[in-house]
Amino acid sequence: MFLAPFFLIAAGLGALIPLALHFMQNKRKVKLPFPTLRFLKDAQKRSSSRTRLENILLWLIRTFIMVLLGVAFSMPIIKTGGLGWFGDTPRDVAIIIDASYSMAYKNGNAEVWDNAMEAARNIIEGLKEKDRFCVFIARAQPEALIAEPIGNKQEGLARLKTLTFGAGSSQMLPAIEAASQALKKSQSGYEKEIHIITDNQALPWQGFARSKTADEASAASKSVVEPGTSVFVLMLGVSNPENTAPYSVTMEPAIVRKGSSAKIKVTSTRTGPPTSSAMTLFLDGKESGRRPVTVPDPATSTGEFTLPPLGVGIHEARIEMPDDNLLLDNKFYFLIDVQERRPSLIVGSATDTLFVRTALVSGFAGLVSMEIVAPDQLSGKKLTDYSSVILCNALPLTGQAIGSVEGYVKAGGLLIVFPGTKAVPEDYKAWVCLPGVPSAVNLVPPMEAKTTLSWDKPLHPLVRPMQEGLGAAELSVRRKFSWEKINESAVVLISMGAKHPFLLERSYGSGKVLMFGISAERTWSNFPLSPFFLPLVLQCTEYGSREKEPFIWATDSLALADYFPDLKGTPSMTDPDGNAVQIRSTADGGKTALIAADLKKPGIYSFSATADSKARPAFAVNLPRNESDLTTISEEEIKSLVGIEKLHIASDLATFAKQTSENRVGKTYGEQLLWIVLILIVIEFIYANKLARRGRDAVLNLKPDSAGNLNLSKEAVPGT
Amino acid sequence: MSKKPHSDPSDGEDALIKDGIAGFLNPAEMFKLRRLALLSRYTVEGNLAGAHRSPKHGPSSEFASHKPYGMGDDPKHIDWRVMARTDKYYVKQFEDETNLRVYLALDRSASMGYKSADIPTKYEHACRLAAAVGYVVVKARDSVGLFLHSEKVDVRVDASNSFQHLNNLLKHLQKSPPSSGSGIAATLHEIAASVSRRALIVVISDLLGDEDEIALAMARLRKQRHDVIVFQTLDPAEMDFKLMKACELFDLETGETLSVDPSALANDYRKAFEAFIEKYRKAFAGMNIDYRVVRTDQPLDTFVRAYLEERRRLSK
Repeated sequence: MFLAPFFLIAAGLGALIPLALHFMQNKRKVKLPFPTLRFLKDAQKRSSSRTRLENILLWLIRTFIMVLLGVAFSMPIIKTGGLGWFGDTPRDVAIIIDASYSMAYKNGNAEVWDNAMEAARNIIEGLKEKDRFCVFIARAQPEALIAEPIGNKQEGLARLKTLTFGAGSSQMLPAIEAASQALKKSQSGYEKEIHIITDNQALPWQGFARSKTADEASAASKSVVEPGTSVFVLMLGVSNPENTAPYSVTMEPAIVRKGSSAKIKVTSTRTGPPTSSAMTLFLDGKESGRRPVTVPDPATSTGEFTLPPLGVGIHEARIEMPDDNLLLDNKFYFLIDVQERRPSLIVGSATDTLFVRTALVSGFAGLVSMEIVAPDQLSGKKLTDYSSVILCNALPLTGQAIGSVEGYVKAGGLLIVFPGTKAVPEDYKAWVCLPGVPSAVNLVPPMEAKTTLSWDKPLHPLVRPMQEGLGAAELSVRRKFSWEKINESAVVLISMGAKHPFLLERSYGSGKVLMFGISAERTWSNFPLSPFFLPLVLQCTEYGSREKEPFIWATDSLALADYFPDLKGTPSMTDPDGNAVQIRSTADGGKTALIAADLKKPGIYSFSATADSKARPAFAVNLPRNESDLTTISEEEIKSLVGIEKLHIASDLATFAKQTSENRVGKTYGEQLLWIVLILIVIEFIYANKLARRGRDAVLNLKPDSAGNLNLSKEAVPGT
Repeated sequence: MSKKPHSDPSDGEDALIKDGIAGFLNPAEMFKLRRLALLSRYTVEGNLAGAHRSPKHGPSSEFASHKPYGMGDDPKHIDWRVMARTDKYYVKQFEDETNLRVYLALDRSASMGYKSADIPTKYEHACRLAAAVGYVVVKARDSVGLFLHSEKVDVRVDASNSFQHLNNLLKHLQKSPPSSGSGIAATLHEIAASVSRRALIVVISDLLGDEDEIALAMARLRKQRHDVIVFQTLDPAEMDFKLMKACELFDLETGETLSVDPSALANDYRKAFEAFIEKYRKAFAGMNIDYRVVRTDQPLDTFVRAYLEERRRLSK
């Protein structure tokens, strides 16, 4: 295919020029006298074949030069992919747009996202009549904006206008898989292209990093992208992005009590060269403190704030860092729940709870209040008022009581279970949240009664203080459980002897369950009388007083029951801008669960349990900070990582358009041909000169001296 | 000879010279040539007493041989010493000395009319060479004759030793430009047939004929005991073949044409031409013929002077 086929005629005519010149030169030859032609005829006999060959070679070179010159000016195009040399082969284009929030990075006056939208519009508008397109949004899981190829550009542009970037990160691999699946439905004869619009961030390409070697990547890419599909990547981000963002917040101690002080540790992260920055803490909307911080790259740095005494209640807080090119991650929201110390609810008879009560009273010196109820009174209690529920030989319980306790745990409460003789193994099976189910209570022979406690998880916050200064933990055990099954998510914190679980922990919902393998009374062992009992019980109750996470990451949906176990009626939620958050109910195992949808806007969400009740801060939502890492990826890295055969990468719209155009229309080789012509001209010049000089530069052997004597060299005369 | 032969117009000899050979040699050239001599390397048969050895016995002081005394012999030539030894009468014979007869065999074939650039044609150069040789010969009181030939001998002038004769001889050259056709071998045979007495034959030609036939004709001249000098007159373009552009060449003698690319043919042409020259060189060397190549771009007086001095040196 030629862009200027007219020049092909010129090429044809040009090919005749050397021949025509040859004939014209013959006609215009000067006629000169010469003494005799006999030597010339001899010479011609000798050199005619060689001369003819040289002349033919020169003629060929000159003809080739003229033809190539004409062809070069006709701008030949050799299509680089697909079929359809001369026709317009229709194509199906899958457009993938990276919608991670790093696309909000400001590049000059516009955000990368704006440029991405413009590029997407250009792609759609640039499609020809028979071309079709589909659009996929690359997020953590790909979304189909237009799932199957359509030809209606107006519809595509209209849908594109509704698109916004997300609150999370993106992954290219699933998006390319989805796009490739959509293109598999293409009609035969359609070319397939995938256009990826993204920034220069390395994060979206991590999915391809599973393939360790280039061969693996190539094999993997072949399974993802159908052979023959051309993939174009438009990287609109900046090559050296800079970003500083608060990364996480932790509080020490984890429980903030009324009147007590606490520290807030803020970790910040940095992409780009080291810089000095500042963190500002806002409490309930007012600035509470500011800390200068130097953020190196790529390490993180920490700033520390001391909280002023706060009143009981939930306080809104946020950390702010100065504005940079990526504004979305400069604020980090969290909630500080300041509480009175809450009482523990001890369930069991006076006898069964004796040692636990004694331990708590003596351990906290009366600071910890507690309440003791009989097992049958448990269902009437509002469990969220208690920091922990301790069951001392309290089983079996009614189903209602079990549901109430499990809901409490799921919402973040702590359940401590001391077994006893009242329950049989079947009574434990009615529970869902327990870490293990005993199969029997075994009597231990007196000879085997003595056992030593071993710390299976010595670094566990509950166990770690127990190891210090208490010496060897030996017990005399008379009865113990044999376990029918241990839950998969349960962790054995302390064992008796070699491997017999003594204390198990299991996370359930937002809460924890701690279950002992022996009772809290003397008939089972001497554990209540041992020096470990009191500190262990105290540690357990304190462990259960942990706060909930002060923030959550932006999410599509959130089960409210996990955070508000005592939720009843129709709650309402508002986002940071005061707009209502959609709450929908779904059936979950016969129960109705309330789900708050689309918690993606960073900030403080408010919650009202009922329409009439007062709204209170519910969640502090932050964007996931992995997108704050703007580490870039180079074109070469993408190519080696992805391993797709026909992968073209551009960093600007013009190059991208050129690449797609060249792939579609072909690439002109005019320039290359002109270079070949130039080389041929040089070769012709050198060769022709050499032939011409050969006559002039030949060594003269016939040199008569002044007296006419000949000095003839031997080589001059054949046969001499 | 006058010290200023060309400066005084009243001098009769000089006036003759100017009238005769002024068209070929200028006074400066003649001045350079005036003391030179063309010597024969062999005995020659002249008709006057001269400086050259004769095959006959004569009155010179050089002893040649004895012969028995006979009737008519002058008794004063009897060698008495031989008679005292042998009791027989022997007469001493002495070598004769005669003048040199030089014949200029000048080629006026069409190929001699060739010239390249701003230099004389081969014929013009050959004429000037003939004039120079003739001048040297006559100056030495020897005789000079002429055979002007193309396909045959066109002009024959017998040998004489006067400047008037030389002048007339050279006028024949001026009147006879190069003509078509060449028959060197035939004309040399004709010359051999017409010159019976030993002489010096100076052949001035480009020798563009059949080498073997020409060599055969030369051999005949040598067999007749003639001393032969060959001046092969050639144009530089003919020897070097340094033409620049492709052209069509036509043969001056046959009129035949040929399109040539000089750059492509130059090497092979030179090889062929050198082989041609070498063939003459070998053949003439075997016949003791003095063979010289004369380029038309070469200063004539320099060449003649160098050649004659070398010949004189070798004759001693």
